[in-house]
Amino acid sequence: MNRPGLLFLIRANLRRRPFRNAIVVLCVAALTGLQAAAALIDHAGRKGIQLGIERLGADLVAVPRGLDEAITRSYLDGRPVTFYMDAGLERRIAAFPFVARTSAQVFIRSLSGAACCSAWNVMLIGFEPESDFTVRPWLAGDPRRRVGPDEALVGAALGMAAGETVRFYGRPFRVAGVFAATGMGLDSAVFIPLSSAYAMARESAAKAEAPLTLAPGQISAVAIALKPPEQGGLPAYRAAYELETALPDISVLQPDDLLVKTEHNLRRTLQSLRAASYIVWPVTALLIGLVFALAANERRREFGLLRALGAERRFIFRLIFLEAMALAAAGAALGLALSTGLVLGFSRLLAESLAAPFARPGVVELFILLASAAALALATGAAAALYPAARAAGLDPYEAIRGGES
Amino acid sequence: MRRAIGIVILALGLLLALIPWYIFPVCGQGRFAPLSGKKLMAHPCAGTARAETALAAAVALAGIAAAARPRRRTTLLASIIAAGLAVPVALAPAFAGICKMATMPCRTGTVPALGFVAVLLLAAGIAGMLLASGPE
Repeated sequence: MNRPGLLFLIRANLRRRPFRNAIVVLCVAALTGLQAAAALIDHAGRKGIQLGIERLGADLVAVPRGLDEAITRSYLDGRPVTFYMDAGLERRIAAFPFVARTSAQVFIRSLSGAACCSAWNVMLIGFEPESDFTVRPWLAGDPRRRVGPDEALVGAALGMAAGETVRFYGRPFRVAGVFAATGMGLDSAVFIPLSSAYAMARESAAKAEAPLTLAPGQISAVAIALKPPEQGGLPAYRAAYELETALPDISVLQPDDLLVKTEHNLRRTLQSLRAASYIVWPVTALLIGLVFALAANERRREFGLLRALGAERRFIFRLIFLEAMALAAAGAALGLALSTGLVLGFSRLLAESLAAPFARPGVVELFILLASAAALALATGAAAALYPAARAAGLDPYEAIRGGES
Repeated sequence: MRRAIGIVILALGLLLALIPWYIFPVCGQGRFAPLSGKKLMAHPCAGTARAETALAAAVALAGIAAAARPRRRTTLLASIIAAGLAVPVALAPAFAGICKMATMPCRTGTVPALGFVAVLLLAAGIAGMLLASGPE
């Protein structure tokens, strides 16, 4: 006669209690999903800010006094900001002995719902191709390539291709290059030569649906490269302090500020997700332990009969333990699929609402993140099922059969 | 249980109808609203909203039928319709039109939400088919 196998018994037992098992699976799924979501958002934010700081390229960025928060937010979420200061400030910054290079930039917001603009409500950044050291190094192929007056460089999120013609305030630009994605707000920015930005403003009254107010003597920001310490340079925080003290009209943004701001923006969400998972964790462990303790008690007669038919204690232990592990594995798979799908699917919406960059993890990184969340769920299932499994395995066959009859 | 499948399919149909208009609305609002005093230029994603509404009506009808008459054949038919429509629900943005910029509201909210509903529809459809394959 064929003996029923372990897997056959596990499957039959799991089918007998669909509602109870569904509750256990959902609890494990919640635990795994919350852990995985927190780990994914944390990792994507950190990776995004690293890529973004590299893309920014400058040691410091000077903006009009009090607007460093606004530009930080714009760099992170891509929402356009416009403000202007006197172009003469660039010369004054360049005169400091610890400054190696400077390059002026102008920020413009494209019109929304207007036929004269190819992309609505995006940040247009006017840069000086001659002095620039922040934008062109990222041009794939030839970083020293000249950017002509009617050419634009665009971020990956805009969905434009090189060679395409785009219009802003009625002025046409040929897309000369597309930057790789970083997950930062700069992915949805368009870079145009500064001279073209001024020309575009001049012509906008005639060509655009609404005029662009920008005078030739106005700039929005100055990107600053500092000299190395051996050539008389200062650390970024000291240089920022010196500049802000000497020039009361400016605030100076350090790339590290972006990191601090990102961590600040993510902190509350990550804390909430982790707190929820820490609440679900003991509840799940308790539930699994309770469910299997009750099941072991209900099935005393069955275990007694199995033992009387020759099943070893180890077999009974494995029966209970593997049932719990099967439920934990199903819950972990469901939780991982849901959280990964939702976090990656809504990644741009998350980045926008959290005002934090979001760079998708690579396959190996994703596997490690998800495996650690799954390991937690499986470990919880294993720990919670140990006692009921050991108790069931320790039953005396005769007592178990008699006890099951009462 | 079969009635429950019908109710789930109906709820998914209603959700599908609400997503492109109210829950994760397609473009033309908020940051992407027209200039003051100007008329709204139709975004390409408006086509997706209309297509999804038509699909939602078909899903909801199948759900109503399965909920009102929870027989084996009705549940099976409604489940096949739900699972079958999951594919056009997920693919509609590619065919009915979607904005080019990855940061537009239709790309950040509407499309992933529709994909999520498509997965749920497929799951509900498969569950319904398994349930309907049992005895009357």
